[in-house]
Amino acid sequence: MVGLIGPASPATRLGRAARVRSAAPVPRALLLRLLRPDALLWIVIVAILVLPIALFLLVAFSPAMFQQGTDWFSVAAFGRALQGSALVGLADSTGVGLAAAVLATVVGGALAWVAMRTDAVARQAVTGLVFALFLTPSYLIALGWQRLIEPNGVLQVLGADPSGFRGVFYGPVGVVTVLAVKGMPFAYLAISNAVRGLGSEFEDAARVHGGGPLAAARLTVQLLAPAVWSSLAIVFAESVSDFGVADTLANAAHFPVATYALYSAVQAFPVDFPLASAVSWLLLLLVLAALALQGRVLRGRRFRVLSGRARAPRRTRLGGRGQAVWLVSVAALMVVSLGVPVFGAVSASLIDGLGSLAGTHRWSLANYVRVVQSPDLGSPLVYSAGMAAITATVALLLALACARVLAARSVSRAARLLDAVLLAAVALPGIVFAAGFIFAFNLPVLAAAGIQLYGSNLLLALAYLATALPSTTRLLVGSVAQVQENLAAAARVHGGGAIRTWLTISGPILLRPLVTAWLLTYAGTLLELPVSQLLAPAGSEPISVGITTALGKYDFGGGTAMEVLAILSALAVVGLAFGIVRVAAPRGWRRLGAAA
Amino acid sequence: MSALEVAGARGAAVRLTSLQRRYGSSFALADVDLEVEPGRFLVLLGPSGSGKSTLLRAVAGIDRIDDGEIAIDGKVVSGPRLHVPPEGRGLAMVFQDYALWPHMTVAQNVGFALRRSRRDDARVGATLDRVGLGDKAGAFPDELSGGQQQRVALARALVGEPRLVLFDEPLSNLDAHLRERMRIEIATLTRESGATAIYITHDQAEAFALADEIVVLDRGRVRQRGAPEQIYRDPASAFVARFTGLSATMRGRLRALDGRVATVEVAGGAVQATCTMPVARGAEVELLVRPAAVRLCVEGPAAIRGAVVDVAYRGGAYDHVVDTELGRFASVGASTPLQRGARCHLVVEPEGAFAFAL
Repeated sequence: MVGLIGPASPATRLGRAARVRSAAPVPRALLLRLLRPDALLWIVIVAILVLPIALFLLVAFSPAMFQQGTDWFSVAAFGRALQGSALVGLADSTGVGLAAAVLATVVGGALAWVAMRTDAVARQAVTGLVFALFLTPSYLIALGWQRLIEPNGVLQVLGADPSGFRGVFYGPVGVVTVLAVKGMPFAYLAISNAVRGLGSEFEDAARVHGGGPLAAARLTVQLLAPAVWSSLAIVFAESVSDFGVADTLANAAHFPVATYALYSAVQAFPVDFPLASAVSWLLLLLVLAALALQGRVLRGRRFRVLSGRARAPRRTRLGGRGQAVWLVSVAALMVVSLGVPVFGAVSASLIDGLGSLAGTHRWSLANYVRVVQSPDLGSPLVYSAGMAAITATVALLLALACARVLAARSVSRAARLLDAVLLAAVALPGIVFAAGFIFAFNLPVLAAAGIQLYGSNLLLALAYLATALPSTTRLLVGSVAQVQENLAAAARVHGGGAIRTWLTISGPILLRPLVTAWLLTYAGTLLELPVSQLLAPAGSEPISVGITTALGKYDFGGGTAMEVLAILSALAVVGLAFGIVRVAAPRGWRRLGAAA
Repeated sequence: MSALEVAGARGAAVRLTSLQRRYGSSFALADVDLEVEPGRFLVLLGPSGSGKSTLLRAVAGIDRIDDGEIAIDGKVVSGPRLHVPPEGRGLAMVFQDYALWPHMTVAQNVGFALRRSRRDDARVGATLDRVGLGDKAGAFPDELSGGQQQRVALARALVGEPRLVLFDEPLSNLDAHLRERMRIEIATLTRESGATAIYITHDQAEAFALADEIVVLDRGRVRQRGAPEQIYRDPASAFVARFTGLSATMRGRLRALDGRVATVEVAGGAVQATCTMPVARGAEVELLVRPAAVRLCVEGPAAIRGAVVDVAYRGGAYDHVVDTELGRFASVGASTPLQRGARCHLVVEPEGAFAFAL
């Protein structure tokens, strides 16, 4: 029996209160409150999410407060952010963001429609493509293209001359292409969910009441409008927040974008935090503007198309020519989105001496041998794998705690606040997180308090955790909310204690979402770029930094071999985890996952 | 000693004292006092929001209370600063949504409740046989029908021979024909086990059929407690009367009172009714008439004239809706049907008509 506190008489209570007051009145009570699980969760959220970002965003307005200038209130940093290369970066980000949003929505929407509403062959392959693109960081897609078409790159080694194409691709066209490829999964999921929920009865009703096929199609487009606007807003927000393309293709093409301007301000000597903060504000405003515009356009136009009575839609027969067009289109999409980057990376990793004018450029496994044998090339993968495993595990535990608060039957004020904080954090670009951490954990007040985390593995892990926690929580909330509270209550009523209930009931029911969330967080952290780039401690190099450093030194073979090995290791971990679940989990647990 | 007495000795005594549960400024339970004797089958009857689920979950230990006390067999398990967790209360529960664990087989679901008492797993098979699911031990819950799932939930609740079993509207998700079969199984198996039962429902027919004793709850307060017959014959308030089945309601004025029998003036005539609570002569009253108190009759001085609005066959008899000069009467039973629009006469028995002061 747990938690028995006997009722005390008023006299006893008074006496006890008096004793407590005379000894250590507030601190002990406060300590006990702070040690409650919900209070601990909030301490972590405030320490890694709220404070670093809030302080960092504040420095744009009050440099003197943080000894970053003499003004206690000033908007001068915004003046600097809105001129010169920073302004060009902001304008470029807006332009490529809009173009990528439209392109991704058109392609993703078309894919969703064909996959959901026609009998196109091999339409299941679309789902595989979408999830592969979800897991692939944008810098790896950009680097794959670069390896193919750069001077002395793979195509040149193979005897082709890509210089004309390179002139076009190294600039806004290439940046928009890669961002649209990276945004396509978001567009596909937003629109396919809406198409899936759109039963045929809406079209049928239009036809029955005298509308022709065109009227029915117009009605369908109107019903899908909310999903299309969502897709545009999400892809735009993702694109302007992206740092992977900014650091690779855009940088190589001398095409400035806002996230790189922010990075440059933090990397400058002396560090210009007020400018970085102002650029972050402008980036945030861009993201919020997109979301606000979406909300404004959709005001009063959200349709509830999902109901228990919706009939499954009929699939349109495509015919021979239609199937051929579909197959060619989807093959072309696969080539552009994944084929070229994979071919670029794999082929570059297999060519000895790629990137240098000297050498024989033979095909060999020498680059892989170097990665395995050289500590400089091999240790980043081991380091990142360890950090990713730790981050994924801690993020999973915290996300589960957050998800339980968010999915609770009675929504408290604290839950609403937590929801708002996590939603805002999802919208924050990773580079802003990284800059916020550098700024907040360099503050003199922390050093004075004896907290010196800057430059440590712990700070990098905390920053990874901060970037992973919001999205991991989002991944789990739906699953946790679906589990009826009565399942755990029934176990408790029938004799299971809290731990046994978790181990035998809640844990197994949530096993598959938990494993999936862990793996997605692991893979995302393993290849994470902006936080790694800015917060990697001296002497420890994460794999993403290792890859870009090797490529920066024109060791294209070594860099791409690291890239290939990193992705293979991530796939191996995914395979291993699902394999263990398949072999070790009892039949009932696996049935549950399959049904879900 | 009868079998029932032996069984009754196994049940737990439950005592609730000044129980309070607040959500913000509103009371889900307000000063509820209740005692349940060992082996009794108590039904808590009330509409949505009356606090019956809150009360049951507080007894189970799933929810906490703000004030008051819950004691099981004399041992306090809930108080404002005390909360024995559900697993420490030695009870069992059948949930409205069954709450069967989807990743476990039927046998594993039922066997879970045995680990507490460290009893032989062979009991699982025997209990499943008792609920008619002996051949479904290896099935998963999603492979069973709704009725079978509820029987698994019942087996899980009874297998460990608990002294207190809680039922949270267990029949509300079942079809009408299954509901009656499950009701009989719950009544017989629970009474056989000898456990004390607390059962909540919003269905008065279910409550009357199952209960040794009924407690009517409204807005977190106990409105009446008694045997089913007492609740039906002597409702303590208009709310209780309304919630336990009516044919008609109308407003009127108390003209005369002779013992408990009152004469009530209503628009269009006068009706004799019973006063279960004191009412002053001349006071405005609400008149509530049970279906059993209304019958069709031949024309006479006390008869109320009316016309049939609707008729429904109820299997063996007919229910009529009749518009009269006093108002509309529903559920007027007869063994032969009258045509819609037909003229007829009704008579109201004073024993089944109640007058309450407004």
